[in-house]
Amino acid sequence: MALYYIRENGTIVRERSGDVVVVAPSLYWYAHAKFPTSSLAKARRLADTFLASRPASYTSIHVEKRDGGFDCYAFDEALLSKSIPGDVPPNTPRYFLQQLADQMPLRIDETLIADTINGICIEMEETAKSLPSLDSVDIGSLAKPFNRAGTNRLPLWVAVTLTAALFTAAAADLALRFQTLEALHHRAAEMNGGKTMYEIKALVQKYQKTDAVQRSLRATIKKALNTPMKSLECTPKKGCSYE
Amino acid sequence: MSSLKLLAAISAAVLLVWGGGALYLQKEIAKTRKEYLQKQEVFARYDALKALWSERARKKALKQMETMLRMYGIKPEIKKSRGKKSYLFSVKAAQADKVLSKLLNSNIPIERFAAKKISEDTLEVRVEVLQ
Repeated sequence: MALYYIRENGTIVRERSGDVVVVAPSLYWYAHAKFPTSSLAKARRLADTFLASRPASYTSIHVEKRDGGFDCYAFDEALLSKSIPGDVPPNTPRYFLQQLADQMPLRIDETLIADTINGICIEMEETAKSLPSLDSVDIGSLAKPFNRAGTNRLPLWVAVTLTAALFTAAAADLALRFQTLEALHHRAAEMNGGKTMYEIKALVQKYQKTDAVQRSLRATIKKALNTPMKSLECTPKKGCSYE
Repeated sequence: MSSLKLLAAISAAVLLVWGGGALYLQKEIAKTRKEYLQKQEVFARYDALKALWSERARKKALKQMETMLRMYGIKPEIKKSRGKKSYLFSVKAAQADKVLSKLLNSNIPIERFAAKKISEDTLEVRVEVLQ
């Protein structure tokens, strides 16, 4: 079972956010391992492959660096969520008890019984006053294996609004682009005026030929007319002959 | 799957479709615009040439030439044969430059042009055109 620690003036209240849930060792599997890498991501992959002694259902892996090696945690996320009482606020940070090992022994508040956390934290009567309390644990310095979903969560209505805005923007943009394309197609089709592009090109070729022939003929005639002559005869094929 | 994860998946899908669609449409628009501009260029050329050498433009040019000859008091002898029309007329040397220049600057489709000096101040011109 999970041990949650939410306290105010000596009274346990379970709704207060900003407190922590400490997960009992019975809910996770732990091993300290040395891998031939210093990369956390590589160590996570190696842990997933080589730490075969964990229970089969403990498929979620959390790895953090410690003492030149890696602390490897494996857990069943569904089982864990089920084990944490429903009235604990979802954004309450959660930690493995093992993560607090460096800061033990700790003085546990009398309302929390030590054996609920499997005896790893022990109330020591004679030194109770000198031991630090769980309140003094530097929670902020610990890695947060389960807290990503709980903290800084985007409100659902904001996410829905953003998705809707994205969808609208995408639809409007694509519609405008499609309209531009259709308008270009329409204008290109309108331009033909009942003739196919093939016919138009053939006509342009024919007219260009006539234009070239007539321009050349006229230039030859003009040149010939400037020459003293008795008679002149010009055709597009033969050019000009004169006496 | 949580609502947020579902929304994230939907957003990713929308972005993917948007990106893909936008790229495809952009490519199509660029291609169509290029084709449209090429077509526009061909049509502009076609219109310019049509105004000069279409059957209608040729007929109009012939009428203009006949009017021009009448204005200079020239009565041409007109013969028609096999889609061709020939104009035979005499022109005074003083008018020859203007008449021939207007004739050669018009867009009548000349098939044959002949000029013969019949006296010191008279030129006989034969113009054969396509009808």
